[in-house]
Amino acid sequence: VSVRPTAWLTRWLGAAWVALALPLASPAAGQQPQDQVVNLQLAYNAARSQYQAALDAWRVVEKQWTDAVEDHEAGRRAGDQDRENTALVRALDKSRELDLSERRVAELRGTLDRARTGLLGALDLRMEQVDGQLAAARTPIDRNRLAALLRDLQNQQDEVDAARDEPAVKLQLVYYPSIQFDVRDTPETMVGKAQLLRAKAGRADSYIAQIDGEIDRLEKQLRFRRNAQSLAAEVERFGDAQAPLGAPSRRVAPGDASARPDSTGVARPQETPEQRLEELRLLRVQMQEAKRQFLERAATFEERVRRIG
Amino acid sequence: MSTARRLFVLSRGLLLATLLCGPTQAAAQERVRDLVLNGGFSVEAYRGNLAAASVSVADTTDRAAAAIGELGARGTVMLFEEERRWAFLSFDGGLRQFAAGGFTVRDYAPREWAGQTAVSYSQLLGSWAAATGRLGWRGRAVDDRPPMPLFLQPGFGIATASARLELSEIDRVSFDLAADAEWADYTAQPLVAPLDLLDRTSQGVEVGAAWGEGTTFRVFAAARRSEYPHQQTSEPSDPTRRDGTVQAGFSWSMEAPITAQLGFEGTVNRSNSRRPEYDALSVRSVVSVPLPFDVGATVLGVLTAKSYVNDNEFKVLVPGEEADNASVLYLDLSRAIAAGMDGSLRVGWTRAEADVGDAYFQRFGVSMLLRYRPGSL
Repeated sequence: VSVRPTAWLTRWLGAAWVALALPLASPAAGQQPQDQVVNLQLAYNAARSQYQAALDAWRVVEKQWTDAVEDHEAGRRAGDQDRENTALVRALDKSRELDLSERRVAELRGTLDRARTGLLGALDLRMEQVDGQLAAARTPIDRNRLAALLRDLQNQQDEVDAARDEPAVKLQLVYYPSIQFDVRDTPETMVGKAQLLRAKAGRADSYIAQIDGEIDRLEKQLRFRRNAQSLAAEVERFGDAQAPLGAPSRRVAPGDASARPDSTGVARPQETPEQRLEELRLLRVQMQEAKRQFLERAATFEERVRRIG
Repeated sequence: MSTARRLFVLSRGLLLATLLCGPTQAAAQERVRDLVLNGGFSVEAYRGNLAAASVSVADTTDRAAAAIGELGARGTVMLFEEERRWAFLSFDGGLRQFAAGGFTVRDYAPREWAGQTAVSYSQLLGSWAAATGRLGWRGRAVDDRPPMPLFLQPGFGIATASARLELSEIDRVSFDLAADAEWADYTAQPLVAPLDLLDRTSQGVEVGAAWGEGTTFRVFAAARRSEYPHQQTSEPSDPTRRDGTVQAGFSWSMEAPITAQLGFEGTVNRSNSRRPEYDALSVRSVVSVPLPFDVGATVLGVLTAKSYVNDNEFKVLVPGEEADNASVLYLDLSRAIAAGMDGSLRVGWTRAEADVGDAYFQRFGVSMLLRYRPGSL
């Protein structure tokens, strides 16, 4: 069996980690290596499930994000300002959720990778141990039993190793995942998909231009607001004028954030212009990434069509 | 606290704030929602030869001038923020050093320290309201306080506590209700014992209604009760001064295309002491607009008219508090000069009542200021 050098290194590190962890972990101190394999297999299964669940959750949010972006575009085309604004607020909310969801996926991917490395290391260690027992086995029954165990462990290791490249685990975060290559695609279908993706990239450009406009408007508004706040705060700091601003409760002190409902109706602290700017910048980055993916995938479809001739 | 110690504390505070918000501290930026450091230089002239009950020295001049350097910082820190509750800490503090001349007896070098901080906690109550509790402290200290006409408020410490309830919108109108209490302690000095007279406790309630999005309008009415435990009335049966104040007014504000705020309020103050009873009307406006060459112009104006109910020859007031009758006009021209840094040129005029009622001093000033927002917050 040929194993890549990086995989060897990973396994050795995993084995070293398991060998170090075994005597240190108090409950595990008296456990057999087989128990360790079982424990690490369970941990690996749990990490895999959690990762898959996070990926599914990301897909749901991505769909909502896509719907909001498309609704905004539809509102703009229809000249419906209210619909456009509502969709933008929803897109910004979803943009933040999408970002959090992406982080969660990346974090769980790390956990899964660590769990896999640990399990592979434990399997290596266990196989080495069984191999030693097999060499020392005196009866044919023992030799058969240990050889079967070794095969099981080898299969288990291959299975875990192979899962590393499974689509469910390897899947990239893809915008508009519904437009993907299908083995049943005809050249015409692929040309159609490429055109659809290029049209989406064009719309992403227009959307990014709108976001830039909104960012520019908000930055100006923020500057005026900050100018006004700075002047009032600096004049009143030393009480030069004691401008009659009324009873203390009427002065909205810095840090007193009012509540406002988000697109799902859940109340949150009132969004500051700074936070809205951050959200717009995040949405811009996501749109750029989506556009990059559309163009890349369109080029892939076109390349396939060219190859088919 | 000694001056050197105060300087040390301020400089360490500013340093810490800068470090917290350095460009590499992403987590700190998440937590620090706003931070502005500012410093500058001003030249000011003062007019008016007035008596001042709370100043230990007097001078015959009616004209004085000063060169002033100042440093300050203000900001907001998020303590925690969850879906249904959040808490913030806000702070604002500064130091101002004067080199004042033009007095007959001697020149003065007053140094002012001013600061305030508050912690607020908000909690959503079901879907019908949001409640906010707030504890705050505000204080100031002045060394080498000069005579009039360079009026500087005396040192004090004021603690406040307030609770506010904002109800969910009903037909796009949101109602709010607030109550607050305040304890003020003025720093009496050996030669200025009357400053103790300014100590007070007060409690207030306020109701308001606001509507509009983008352009908002709010009307309010407030009532306040104040007690001055060290001030006596001439009534043996009711010896301690107590005031009742009623205020009502409206405010209007818009965020785009320009930032503009306009406030109007009327005040009626009645007391068991005849001396400080007055009626006042006040208009306050802040407008910030763009000018060519990326310059932003901001105007702050407050105009107040006040009339006393009873004619008294000598009306000793609580500086800056009871004498809420300053008229001020400031014009600030600012422009970004580097990443996160603005330069500002400011001219200002103030006409305010000093300690003695119906006696006004004036201040004219020109300032050059720099404002820095670390990490382009």
